[in-house]
Amino acid sequence: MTTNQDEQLARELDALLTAQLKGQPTPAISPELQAEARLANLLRQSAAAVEPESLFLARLEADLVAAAAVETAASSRTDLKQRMPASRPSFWQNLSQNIKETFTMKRFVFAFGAVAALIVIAFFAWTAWRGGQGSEPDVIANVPTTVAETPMPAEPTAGPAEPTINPELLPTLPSLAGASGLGSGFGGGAEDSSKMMATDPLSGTQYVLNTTLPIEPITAVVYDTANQTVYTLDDVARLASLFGLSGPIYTETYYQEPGNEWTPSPVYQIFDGSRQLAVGDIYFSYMDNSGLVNGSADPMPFAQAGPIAEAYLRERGLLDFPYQMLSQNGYDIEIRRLVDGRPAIFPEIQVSVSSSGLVWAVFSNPMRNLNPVGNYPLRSAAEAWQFLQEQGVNFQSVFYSTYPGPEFAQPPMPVDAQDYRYWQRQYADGQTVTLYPYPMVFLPVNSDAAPRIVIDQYLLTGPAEELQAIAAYVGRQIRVTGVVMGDVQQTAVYKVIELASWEPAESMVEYTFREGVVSRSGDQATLVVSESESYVIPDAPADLNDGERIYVSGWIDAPGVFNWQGMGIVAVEPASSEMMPVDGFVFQRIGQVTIDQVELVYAVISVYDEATQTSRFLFSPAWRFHGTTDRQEMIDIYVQAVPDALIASPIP
Amino acid sequence: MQMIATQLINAAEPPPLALDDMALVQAAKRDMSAFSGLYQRYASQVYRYLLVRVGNVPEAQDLTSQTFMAAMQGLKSYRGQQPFPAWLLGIARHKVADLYRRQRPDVGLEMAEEVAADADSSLEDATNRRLALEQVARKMQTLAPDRAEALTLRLFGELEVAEIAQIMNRNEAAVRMLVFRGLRDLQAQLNVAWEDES
Repeated sequence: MTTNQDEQLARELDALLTAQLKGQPTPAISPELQAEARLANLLRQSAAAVEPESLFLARLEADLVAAAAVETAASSRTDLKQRMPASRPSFWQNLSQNIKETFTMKRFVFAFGAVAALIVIAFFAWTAWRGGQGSEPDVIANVPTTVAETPMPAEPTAGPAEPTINPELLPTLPSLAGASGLGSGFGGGAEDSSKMMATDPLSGTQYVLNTTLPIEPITAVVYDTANQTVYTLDDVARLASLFGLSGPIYTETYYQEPGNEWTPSPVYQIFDGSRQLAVGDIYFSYMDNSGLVNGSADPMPFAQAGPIAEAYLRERGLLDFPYQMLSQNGYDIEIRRLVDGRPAIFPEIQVSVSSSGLVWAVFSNPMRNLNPVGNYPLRSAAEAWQFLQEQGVNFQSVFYSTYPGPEFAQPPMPVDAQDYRYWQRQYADGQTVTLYPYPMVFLPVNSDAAPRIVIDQYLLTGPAEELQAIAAYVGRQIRVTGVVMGDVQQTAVYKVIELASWEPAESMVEYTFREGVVSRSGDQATLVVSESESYVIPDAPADLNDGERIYVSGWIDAPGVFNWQGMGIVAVEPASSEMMPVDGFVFQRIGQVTIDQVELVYAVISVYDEATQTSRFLFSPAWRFHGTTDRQEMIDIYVQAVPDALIASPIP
Repeated sequence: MQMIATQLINAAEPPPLALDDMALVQAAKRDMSAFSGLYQRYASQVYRYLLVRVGNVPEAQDLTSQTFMAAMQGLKSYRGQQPFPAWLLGIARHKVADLYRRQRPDVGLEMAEEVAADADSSLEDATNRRLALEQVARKMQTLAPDRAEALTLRLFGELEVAEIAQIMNRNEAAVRMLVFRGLRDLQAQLNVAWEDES
């Protein structure tokens, strides 16, 4: 297609989109645009139906109102200036920063969370991403599932249940929609009235059964964790001892706007060189950053890592329940609890082992004190199989996840990703720097130790009274000048800045961005944003080339100079009329699934109680149909085993 | 929850529909509590744009918060040089860039956090649509960045080509081409086929 033709089609499409966005009659378009036009319409309709969660909207509005009140008060003062609380970290930002602090913003194989529901959700996301139609760039070996021996006593509260009682007396259960680890997909079920062939890979799939359907069990006990206790400070000390950490226990403190009483649940943290431990209400995570290589995981294959992880956990008394050990990516170890002999599809413990044999990450969401909810009748495996054939994947009672098998070919990297370059500004040891951070502050809970203060990518050290004063400015911008000292605390992640001076930022120094073209003259680099706007780029990378289009992020704290902290290449639209090659991966529907194993498992559903604002987990049985796809992937399809009559909101 | 409800009652009254954006901006410059009107008007639009750009609800929420906080703080510098939604989405765009700067480039999808399971399980349609957008977001990340950006601003940010051109520092023809090629690439990625309606 020639450039002129493309341009004509682009104009037609633009006219169409304008009409659609304004709700006006749409103009006629060329046949070549029909598919794109329908897709655009579908995308807009999908987007229009998505609204932010009401609680989030309300909270943000409250934050804005509070911030506005402070701003109004500040603007009326003529003596001591009071800065507006700029960018007070939202809950997710705090969480994100906390996680980033905990995990040092490095590549981490497991998706993780810092709140109970988020833990479940994060694994859901990780599995969903991995199951996302095989879009992973990594080749992943097929790994066996190892059912570990269980010399320890059986699950203390998951004993044999009473015989079935009247189903009418059983509480209804939520659907599998809130469960973790079951994967996700796109689109609808077998019948779609929009006549669009959904992008869901299992739309129209043929299912072939290549095994015998089990005839048992006919009932199963459903459990929950309603009686689970939260971790105390004594637990934190005990866990720290388990992992050999010593030092003060900290919690992160947050900026509190006047009138905003909301605070997140405390996460207790201990920092000991390269190792750190974070303990939330019902989870903990341990990490040794020395297990990373250049900030990335350097994993040992599961076959060797599994026994190491198992021994490590057992030595610390963390494997005191029947379990199954496996790996879905060929490296990281998952410990799944066996409940009444059946695996819970939830990684109760996740372990990462480096190639040197170091256990460098342990994440645990212990499911303690399982409480029987009731002994529920089940639809049979045959009924579940029939249900799957008739209903397909509906993301309420039927889910699936795919993961690469040994035959899955790695798609080539997209052209853009291969050409991507990014630089993060590195300061030399001994260099004096000026930053405009919003400090993260961790205060000790059981000692008179100095606050632990993190500013951007650095730990801040200095006189205790200065750190105490800075701690009062948590979440608000300050100006810090100090000397970069290297990783003197041997964190394997953070360099230290030795404080020289600091002051509150009288007015916000915005962390900002510019995009432009590089102009190099010798060692000096200039970013040309426009004819009237350009900046000197200090300490420009040696491999930043003249004429490259880049974006920079950082501060403009001196006229004509961009104090950059990050820099990346901006992909340039090719001048040629040829379209950029589509990346090597082509999304495909699954034509056939062959099932070779059927068993009853437990899905773990996160249930949030609005009244008490607490979360609990529900262990609900599901039939797992395991097999392979015609794309040479592994697939697990989960069908809710509890009949619809006992589900709170079943699909009609 | 009770505290938040109280704050909403005491917040600035919703603006009359007849007030255009500039009037709201001027009102907010005089009395920042009026910023709520702009927030209520554009929160969903900004959120949808961010959801498609980052692919998950927690980060979309976080960036939405950052965007509106930054917009409120920088409102004094807004002089109507571009339509307010374009200015707002420009801020959102930079917040996305900042997020990606703070993450390793090759971590993006692996670090994706999933949306919180809504306790109200009757919202199945919303869940499916949300999943659909997240799926689209994942596919968007395989497109050329400029195409993905232009397409997202056009379809989900609901901006005019001229506004996008200003944000992306391109001419309008280039933006139209980016949108067209981005949509065509996305079409190929999703491998969407259409049955005959007859």
